[in-house]
Amino acid sequence: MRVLVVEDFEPLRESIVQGLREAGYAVDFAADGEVGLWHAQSDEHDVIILDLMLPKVDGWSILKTLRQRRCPAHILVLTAKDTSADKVRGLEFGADDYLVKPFDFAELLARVKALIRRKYEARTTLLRIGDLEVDTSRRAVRRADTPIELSSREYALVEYLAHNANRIVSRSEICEHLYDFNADTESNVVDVFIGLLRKKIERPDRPRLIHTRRGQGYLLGDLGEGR
Amino acid sequence: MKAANRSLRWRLLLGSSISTTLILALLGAAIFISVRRSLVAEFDAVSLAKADALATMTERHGRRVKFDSDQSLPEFVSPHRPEYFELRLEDGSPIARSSSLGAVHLSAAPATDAPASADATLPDGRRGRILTLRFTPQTDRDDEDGDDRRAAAPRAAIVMVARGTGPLDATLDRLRWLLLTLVGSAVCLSGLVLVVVVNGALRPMRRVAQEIESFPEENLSRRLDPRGVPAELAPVVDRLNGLLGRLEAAFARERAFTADVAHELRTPLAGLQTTLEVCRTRPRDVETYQATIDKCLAMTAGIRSMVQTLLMLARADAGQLPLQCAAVNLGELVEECWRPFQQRAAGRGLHVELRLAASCIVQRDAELLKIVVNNLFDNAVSYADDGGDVWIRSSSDGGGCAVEVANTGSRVSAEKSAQLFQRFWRGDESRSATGLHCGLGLSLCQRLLCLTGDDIEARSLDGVFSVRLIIARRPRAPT
Repeated sequence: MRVLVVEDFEPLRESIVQGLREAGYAVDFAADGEVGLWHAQSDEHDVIILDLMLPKVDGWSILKTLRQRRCPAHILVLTAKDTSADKVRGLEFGADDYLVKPFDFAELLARVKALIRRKYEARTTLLRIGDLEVDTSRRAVRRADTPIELSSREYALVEYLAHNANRIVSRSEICEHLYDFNADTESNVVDVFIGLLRKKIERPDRPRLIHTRRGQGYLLGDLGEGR
Repeated sequence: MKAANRSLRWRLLLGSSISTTLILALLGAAIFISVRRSLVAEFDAVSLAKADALATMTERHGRRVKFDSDQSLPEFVSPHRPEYFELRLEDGSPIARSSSLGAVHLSAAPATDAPASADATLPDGRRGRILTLRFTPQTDRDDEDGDDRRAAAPRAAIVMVARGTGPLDATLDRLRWLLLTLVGSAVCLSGLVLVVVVNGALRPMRRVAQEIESFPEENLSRRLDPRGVPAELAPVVDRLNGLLGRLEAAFARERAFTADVAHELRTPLAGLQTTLEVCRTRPRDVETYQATIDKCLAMTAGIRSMVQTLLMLARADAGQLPLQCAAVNLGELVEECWRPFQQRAAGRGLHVELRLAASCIVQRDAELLKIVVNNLFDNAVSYADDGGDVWIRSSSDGGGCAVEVANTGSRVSAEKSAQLFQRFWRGDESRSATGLHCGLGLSLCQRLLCLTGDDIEARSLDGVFSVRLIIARRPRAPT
């Protein structure tokens, strides 16, 4: 899952970026509205965390522009403006959520997860694909009731595939959502992680869940194919 | 009772009632006295007429004085409520007296040429008045004797007429009761009229009081309706509305200021909280903890700086900033203040031109001036474009000194220059250096300079932002 953080107060921006990355998100960031708008329009993000008072281009303008251009990202406004009028204005301008500073980082993280669920139309935090369970609230994965240990990148990949279950997801889509602007997406890093996931998820005695579609991408789903 | 004492309505009613009663009572008394005086004068005139008649009937015959009455004079002989007279010579020798007197003598008033009247008790015990008239009896022409006339000197006589004042007293009694009734009724009636008039006159005041009472405490936007307010209350309503306006503006300023303060503190607090929370999510190495602590300390320094600035502004506003003025060489002070900024300016590649007047002595609080100058330098070094120019100049003339700090790279439009001194105002809405540049610096500079009556001007033109301090030789009254 890829998140864009647009915040001009450097220490706060750095901490949010660090916290989100450690939670397994690919994070892009911008210190002013101009760069933030450019990032939001150039890459596909699942969630944009947007401050309102920004240099060069303010948050209101970014919000308006992104909604006019039908940007699919869910936008969480993170601001010091705490009046009802500001909240109403923010939501009417197209924000999906509004959080006032100062805030608990755990709450920010929970809201980001909720926005991702909404984006993929998942009403529950438990995604089931055959006998594979992905618990997005606890970031835990089980198969046939057996817990599977995954790194944060591996978890991010399986969660993204689970959100797009039974649909072919191209390598570039995976790159878009799982790697931030600074990652080297030219390499075969996706194939490597798919390989690692297969080793941890697939079992000889259970149906295959991760399918390769040559020239198209990957698909997570129980298609009834045995090993 | 105390509430009644404080009531304007009661005071007006009481004052008006007392004064009306007094006026009516005095008026009644004046009428009574005047009527009484005129009735008594009429009574005395009748007595005088009778005394004159009696005097006319008294004649001198040689050495003797005789009362020669050829009339019956029935009032002096009536058995029922008679009148009395007595005639005697000045030496007391009797001439004549009414039969009604019997053996009793009337007591005469001291003899004067003018008739004298006085209240007295009549011989039969009734109240009455006695008139005393001094006269010289006429000589009887038929009885003239040349020798006797020459021999006898004129002798003065006194006539006293006493009459009962029963009818007069009865008339005066009726008048007294009539006046008392009239005055009492007039007092009661005027009291009722006063209640109605005072209530009517005070109605606008009650309306204003009720209107003020109905004002909600939290809403200062309401104003008193000046329509229908009497002329006497119009200035009060006017002033109250003005006061409410000023109060509303002051509260709005305070609310905005508090909101701004809260708002400005939110972002660095969020930074602190998030940095600490993220750090705590998992065990870290010592270097990471060290870096986190340093980061938090830097944010705390920013918050502290803002709080100090706010405190200084509050103290300056409250007049609690003591000034310690002494001779200060402005050029030296500017140079000393600039030194700590040199490294930052060099780091940003700024071209700095420092042109300071040799001698520029002013009587000022050096510490406050340093705060002002440091603020200007901090702004210039922070907001100048990378590799841009900074000019620092001081000059002096007969009136005082001027310090100008200017930098290129200004993003403030010329139109917005007027807002530069508003608290928490910034050229853009960025809080990129929250705590260090929270839009208070220029406000603080202006407030501090105001304490000594000095001026500060700022303008942004063609990308050059400049601030100019104009400082007189000696402090002036605060502006």
